[in-house]
Amino acid sequence: MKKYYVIGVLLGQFKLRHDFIFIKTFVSIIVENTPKRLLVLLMTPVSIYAINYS
Amino acid sequence: MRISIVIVNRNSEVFASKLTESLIHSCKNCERIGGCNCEEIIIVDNASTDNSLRIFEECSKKITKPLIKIVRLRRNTGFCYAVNIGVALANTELVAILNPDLYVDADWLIPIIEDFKKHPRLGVVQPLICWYQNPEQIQSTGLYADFVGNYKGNIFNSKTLLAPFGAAYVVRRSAFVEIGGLDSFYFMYGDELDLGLRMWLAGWIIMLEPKSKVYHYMGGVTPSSLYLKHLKYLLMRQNQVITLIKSLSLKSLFIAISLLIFVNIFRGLKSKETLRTILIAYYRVLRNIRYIIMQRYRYLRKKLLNEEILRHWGLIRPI
Repeated sequence: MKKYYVIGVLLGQFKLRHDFIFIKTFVSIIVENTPKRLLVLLMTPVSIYAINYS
Repeated sequence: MRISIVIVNRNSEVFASKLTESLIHSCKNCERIGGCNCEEIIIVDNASTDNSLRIFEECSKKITKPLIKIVRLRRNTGFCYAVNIGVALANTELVAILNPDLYVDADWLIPIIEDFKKHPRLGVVQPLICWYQNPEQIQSTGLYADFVGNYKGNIFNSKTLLAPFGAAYVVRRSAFVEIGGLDSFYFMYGDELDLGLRMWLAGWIIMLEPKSKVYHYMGGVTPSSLYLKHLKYLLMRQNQVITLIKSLSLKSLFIAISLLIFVNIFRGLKSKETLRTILIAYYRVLRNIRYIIMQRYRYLRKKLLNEEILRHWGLIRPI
């Protein structure tokens, strides 16, 4: 029982860490970029997709 | 939408009449069907020594719409400088940049203009380039490059390209001016990759339009001598290094230059002439390093993306 508990805690920590990295990356993308760069970063892949698959 | 056509002429007597005829025909067609205004054809002459200029002048006297403007340069200033002059003289939203050794399809402009209307961040469109001698065969569907700046073909026939093929492409004038035009230091060869990289890094998209066709005679106006073969190789090697220095971030630049030197050592082992040409190319880069670094800092300010993102989007391919 104790073994499963340890694995559960470890997995939980792993998930938490991943969530934290994801949130950190997301926030840093918004904070570090200028609005114009952010717009280009978001819109260019959409345009590439539209051009290639239209 | 209004469009101008810029042709850089240098001893293209053989191709001049067919090119002008096809262009005038396509401009009329474009106005009739596509609803766009083909305003002018600007011919920038790089001190031609044959009768090509006379052919263009005769055409300009006969035809009033589109207006044919001729600009004579006193010496051969190279393709890039001449293109910059042509684009500076054009006062339209779109500018088509063409080599003189080709002819165009009657309705080549219509799908390209539709693309520019559809996508507001579209900077450059390349038509499908077929062979002049064999119009059924495709010559180029656009260019990609690897991490060290070697050209790769568009093997997956993707519609988005890293760079257009230099023979024929249409640019949005505002994008071209924003990135500072072509670098006149390049003279010729390798300028399209520099243009493509700078366009992408500034957030502009480059695409291929397969419905539009032009027919190009590869090397039609470049005399084929051994000296010119070496000059072409020298300019390609030199411009490849300059493009890397100007566009990459410091970390990627260090890796790319180290790899490139390693690749060039192997190239140099093939023959003494190749080694000599590569060394001269590197010497020329070092001699002009101050200018190149100044250009790098000029472009850094306009950079919105980096090469890591372009690699992630599949535009820069593995070596």
